[in-house]
Amino acid sequence: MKRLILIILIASGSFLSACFKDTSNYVYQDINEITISGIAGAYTAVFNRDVLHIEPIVKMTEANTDASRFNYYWILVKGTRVIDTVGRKQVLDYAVNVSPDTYVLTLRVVDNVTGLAWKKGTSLTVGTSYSTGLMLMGTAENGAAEVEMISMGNDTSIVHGILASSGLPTLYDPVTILHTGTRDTNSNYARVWVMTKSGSYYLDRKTMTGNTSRRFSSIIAITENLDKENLNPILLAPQIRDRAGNTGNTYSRAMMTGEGHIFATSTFINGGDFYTNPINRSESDFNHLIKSAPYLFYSIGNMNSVMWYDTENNRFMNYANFGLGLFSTIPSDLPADAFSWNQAATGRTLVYGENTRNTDGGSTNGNSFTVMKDAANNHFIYKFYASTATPQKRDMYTVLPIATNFAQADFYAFSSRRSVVFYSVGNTLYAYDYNKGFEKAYSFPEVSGDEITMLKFDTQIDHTTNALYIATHNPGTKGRLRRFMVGTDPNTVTISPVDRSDWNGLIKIKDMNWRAVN
Amino acid sequence: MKRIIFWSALLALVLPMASCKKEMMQYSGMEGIYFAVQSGPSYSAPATWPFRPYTNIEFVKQPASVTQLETMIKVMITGPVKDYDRPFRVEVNPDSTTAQEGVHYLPIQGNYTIPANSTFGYIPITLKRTADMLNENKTIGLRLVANEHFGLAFPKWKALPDLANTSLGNDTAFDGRLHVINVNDLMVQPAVWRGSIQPVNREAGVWGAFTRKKLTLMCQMFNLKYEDFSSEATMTPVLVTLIHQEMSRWLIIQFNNGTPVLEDDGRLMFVGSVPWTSYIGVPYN
Repeated sequence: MKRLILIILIASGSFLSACFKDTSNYVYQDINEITISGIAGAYTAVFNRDVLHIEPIVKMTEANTDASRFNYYWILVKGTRVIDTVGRKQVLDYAVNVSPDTYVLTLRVVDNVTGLAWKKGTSLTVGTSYSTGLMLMGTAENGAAEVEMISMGNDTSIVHGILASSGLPTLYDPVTILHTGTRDTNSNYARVWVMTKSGSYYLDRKTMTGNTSRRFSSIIAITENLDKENLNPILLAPQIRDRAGNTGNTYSRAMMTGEGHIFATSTFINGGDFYTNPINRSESDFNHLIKSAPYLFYSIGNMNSVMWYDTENNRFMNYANFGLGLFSTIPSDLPADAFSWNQAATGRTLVYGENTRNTDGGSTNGNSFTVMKDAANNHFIYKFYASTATPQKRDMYTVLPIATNFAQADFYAFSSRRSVVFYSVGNTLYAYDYNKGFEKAYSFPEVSGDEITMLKFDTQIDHTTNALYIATHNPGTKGRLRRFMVGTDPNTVTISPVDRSDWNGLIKIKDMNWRAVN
Repeated sequence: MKRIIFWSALLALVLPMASCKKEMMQYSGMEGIYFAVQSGPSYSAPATWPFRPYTNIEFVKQPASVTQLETMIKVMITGPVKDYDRPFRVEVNPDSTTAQEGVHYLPIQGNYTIPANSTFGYIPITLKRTADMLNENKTIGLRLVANEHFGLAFPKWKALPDLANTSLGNDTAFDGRLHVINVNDLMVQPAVWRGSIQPVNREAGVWGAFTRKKLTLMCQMFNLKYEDFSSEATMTPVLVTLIHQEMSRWLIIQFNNGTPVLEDDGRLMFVGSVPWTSYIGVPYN
């Protein structure tokens, strides 16, 4: 009996295991195992230029001739987000068109017989050709506005057809392309603007693509009765002032539209690059917007105010209260001044204006120059320091008749380092030294021949070198951009070409600007 | 003795078998009904909002064209669901009601249903926007009445202390049989108002102190709606600047023309860069 009880007790213990279900499968078989090699740990590619080519080695434990048994997926992932499947064959040939960034690229091989997937990952860093270099705006051979870039990353290369592939409608009458400066990653602070008289748009900075909603109207809040949708900026202040892409003021900005309206902002107050009502008006006649000449005068080194030229009353106006001021002020004259801010009495009108890094008269951050002319077609050069609420006049020069064809000039360019203005008429380059009592005139047959389409002194990369950029065009060899150094001998004006600074096969250049940050 | 051992061994054999079977405890208690209106901050999920004894209807958040609004007051039941509709009854509680039937709300018909196979139902209440709501909050008290289907559950409702602790307030302990609807058209300071009041009652900031008159004027001048002030997405910093700039200018022009714009207490309306200082309650003279 005791034995029976013992048996029952032991048996009762063993019943407990009945609660456990065995779902195992004990029939094992070998399957096809895949190993992937031949993929490097990391790849780099340039956006919209490179084709990423990877030939992986796929080894299998079972010989297999049926290619349809396997599916290949090259999957691009950013963090946890799947961006795209960029290839569906074993060998990858991917024209890199994903937004510049760092990604994980994974090859996934799916064996359709076993249903198993085997994978191998690598990192892909997509860079851009657009981060550093000279952005060129001009006319393509078909007559449309076009943008090119002399990209100066690790090596110099030229990116063509940026505007044609930007997704924007065809634009005409090119004005310029520029970067607002600042390194901010927020697209509401830093912008790249494509400016043409047929429409201005800001682009995606990484990809240089745009869409028609990125107009000036999208970044303004105004009560002024203007045709908001058709406001096209043609000018922005401040410009880039050094190789690193800094500007003369991080927060203050001004933009001018084709109609001569000036919008000013403090990005600090307005939460980014956004603008309120235009400021091209005076306090006394507040409701009247004055048409400005297409120049904004300011000291490049430090923009704390901006001057503009009232084409209706022929006077200079000043604006020094970014983000708060609603109108411009009429600057005051002193009896000993070289000229008056109000030119109505002289009968002179504005021909041209430019900001430089010329420091004459203690203008640490750079003087501005204008070319004026009177009714008798006499020309004058005004030099002034457009800085603070009380801008300073530095000097006035009468252009002598020895300056050949000065009145007919297509382009002018004032040197920051010498009392010299370069100008061109058709295909001929001239220079005029306006130093009082020592005036001299020069011409440069060595650069003549092709039509000159742009003259621009470098005040954006390194203003101390006195480098002059000259763009020319001829229908055969197309656009050409060259950099020259202006000689330092004060008794003469010479220019010498800079080695490896001659680019051919470009658009017909209208303007260029430096870009140093993305 | 042997028998005891035998039987205990047998028990030891049989009892473990019962351990393999699990059974849930069933609800036992009143078949009841209670108000189950939840509200809470927009950043948390509605399901986590605490139950509240009130519903706030603010007509100011509706466009001016809205003159009448239907709100659905949720009730829930205790006890099993049934496969047929069950009626329940609600009436207006005069003790907590200042609104007038027919003027501020459409008459409440009183009988509603919990649909078949549902644990909840709704009481639709239609509220009317009236001029007196501009200055005064109106209340409508609701009271559930027991009938043959439902008793009254949770006369002492109290939220679980560990549930959404941070957003719970005192009002999460209440009588689940009662509910109050607050309805008004009072213009309260919107979420985005770039101004403040500094000691002592001095208007400051780019927009100064909030007043209904000032906000209405802003809406007129800049073609805005009250809702535009509800978030920074619609009231952007640049729009704040524009309002500040243009309204200051306009107020100065009005002052110079001899038609100064005054607040209800007689002080000069203040926005950012006007040259005067305004104190609340101190009239301009």
